[in-house]
Amino acid sequence: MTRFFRNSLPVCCKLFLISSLVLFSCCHNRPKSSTPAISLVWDGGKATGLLISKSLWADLPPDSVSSLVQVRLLYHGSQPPVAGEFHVQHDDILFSPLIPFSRGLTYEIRIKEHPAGLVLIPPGKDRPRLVAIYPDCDTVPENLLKFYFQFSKPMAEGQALKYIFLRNEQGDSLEHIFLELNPELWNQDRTVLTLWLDPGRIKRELQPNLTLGPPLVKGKKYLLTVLPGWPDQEEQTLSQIFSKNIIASIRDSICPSPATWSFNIPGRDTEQPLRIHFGKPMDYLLTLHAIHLLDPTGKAVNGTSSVSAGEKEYFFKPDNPWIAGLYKVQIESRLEDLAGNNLDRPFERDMGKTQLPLPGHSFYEKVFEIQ
Amino acid sequence: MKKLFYSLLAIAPAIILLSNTNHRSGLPPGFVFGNPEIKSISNLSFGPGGVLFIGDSKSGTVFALDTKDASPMEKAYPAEMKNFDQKVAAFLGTETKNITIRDLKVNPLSKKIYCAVQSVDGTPVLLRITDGNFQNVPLKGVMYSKIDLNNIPSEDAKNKWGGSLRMATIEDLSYSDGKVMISGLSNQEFSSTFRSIPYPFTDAQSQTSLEIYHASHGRFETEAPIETFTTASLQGKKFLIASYTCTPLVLFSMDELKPGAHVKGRTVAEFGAGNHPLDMITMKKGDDLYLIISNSDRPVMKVKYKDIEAYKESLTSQIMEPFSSAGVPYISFPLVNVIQLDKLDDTQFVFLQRKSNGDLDLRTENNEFL
Repeated sequence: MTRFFRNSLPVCCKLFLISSLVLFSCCHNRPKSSTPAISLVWDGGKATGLLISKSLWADLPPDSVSSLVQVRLLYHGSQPPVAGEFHVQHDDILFSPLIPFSRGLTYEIRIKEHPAGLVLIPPGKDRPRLVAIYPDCDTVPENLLKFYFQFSKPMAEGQALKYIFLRNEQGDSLEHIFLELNPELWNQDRTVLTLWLDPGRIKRELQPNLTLGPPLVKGKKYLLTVLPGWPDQEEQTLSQIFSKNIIASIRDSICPSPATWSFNIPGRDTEQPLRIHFGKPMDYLLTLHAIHLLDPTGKAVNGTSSVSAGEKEYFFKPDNPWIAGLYKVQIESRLEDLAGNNLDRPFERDMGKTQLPLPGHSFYEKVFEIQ
Repeated sequence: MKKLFYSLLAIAPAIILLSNTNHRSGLPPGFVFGNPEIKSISNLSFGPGGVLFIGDSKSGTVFALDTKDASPMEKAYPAEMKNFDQKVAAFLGTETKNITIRDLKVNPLSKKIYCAVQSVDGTPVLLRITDGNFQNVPLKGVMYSKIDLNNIPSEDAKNKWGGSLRMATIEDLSYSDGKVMISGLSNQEFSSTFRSIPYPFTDAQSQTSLEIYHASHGRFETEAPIETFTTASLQGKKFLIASYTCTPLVLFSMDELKPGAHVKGRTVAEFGAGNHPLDMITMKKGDDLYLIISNSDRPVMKVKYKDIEAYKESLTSQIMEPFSSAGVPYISFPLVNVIQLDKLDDTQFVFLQRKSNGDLDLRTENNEFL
């Protein structure tokens, strides 16, 4: 901004800019009883509109507002009017831009081509944080299929591969490791990103696998790094580097089998958690979403699911005490381990030898009894 | 009289509602007037009569939007806009780092270019380019119909949780011959879904599972993600031409894409690893039709449809030479870093190209280039 002041604007504009920003700041701090000449409209943390009070446009005919009032981004060079809609409501003009005003930028309001005020959109308050990376465990099969990145706030899309790197033991970042998708795979509120390691490199004998080799190699160590600077939806950025050590272990080509899982059965009339031990790490998100409990009457049991011990264990804490009887655990067949093997099929199949099952056909069921 | 007055008053909202479902506009049944609440724009594809299909990954919905832009135009003016992203950002009152260009499509009737943009906060914007200027295409107060992709049972979904039906993103979307076709991915399980939805939208929605055989691989792959696809007539028969993340070109007979079907595709070309396709269009020069493919890590390619028609085999052997190709021959254009590509008119195609100096330019080439 300082360089911008020095280089880009004539002296009169600089004075105007400073005075207007100060004026706006004063307006902003006024008691609620007095009406600022220009004020922002906020919706869910976004500056979605601008109110211009009558004092600034009293001499304009209301039906000429959209042609005589303009909002422009104060920026290098000349800028076109910001696209949006004007509405005259009571004593104010409401300007709604097509997209929310950008944080940290300054906008100029012009009336009949004359500057009428400036508005600085304040930067967001809370910076986003990378809360967790899954799998949580350090040792993963060399055919690991994906990572999940969980953030504290909704993040900007289309940025992931600018900030996420996988480095080898020499510190070199590895090329073509992740599958580049447009759009990226986000959950609905844009707080969890799914990033696949390139499946074409994981599947043996596929052209990318033959040409570039597998993404991870057994016995090797890697460093998964997320760089600072990744913006969230309020244009605040990650402030810290986040790193996670990974050791590639033996290939896992075996489907998870609920028949081999062990159960810790809670006591009757308690709210102790049910614990299921898988014997190997499972996919974090699928474990949370693909396991369902039914009570002795066949109704879904309400409670809280969690995954721990490096994705090897699943806990379910009921909202109400367990009652005596037979409970069912229904597991959707789409549940995968870390290598993408699900309950119905391994990630790699020789289709010349096996019958192809259609996906999503079945679920598996385990029964336990509360005495 | 009073009774009649109240009766009229009672049916007035219904009359208004019916008048809003504007059948006389030439729109098919199912269109209503209002706010479709589009939460994101992942992909665009034009249908008949200036109707624009919008894939909304965030809400898991496909919208059919009446653009009211249905005046036929035979020939388009070549579109040239330097620093396209900067101009879009300036129009929206922000900086380029705060916007993403999601898709770019040409209305085949009016020959106007439509561009889907997403703000950093997720707000979607649809722009139309007319005479080198941007116009906002309203997403509220419009005639539209829609279909929800996540809450419609499929014939092969037998469990109560929906199984493979969840679709986190719409990777590609295309309209052809009364059907909207969609390829999608889940953000949890490793699955790739392909759906064919009759248009005008009804409650009937078919999901077809596609099976392909990779040239470089001794196995069938069923869940490889489809990056982009188009449709074409080959020797009088309609085909889906799909391109996958590791770039094989695969043909599926459209006749076989039926609800619940498992269709084996025929791989006709392998363009080499380390690349993924971005867009595919069909252009004509003289009597020859060409498939034009833009790529992430290779130049724009052209493939002759005659060569595809003549190629009767399916690639089955492994390709041992790294990064080499096989199957139908192709020619690379001296045109790299093309991130959006569409047909502008019968003789021109328009594209967004990232130049070596970082600029993103909108450019047009004609079929002399082919």
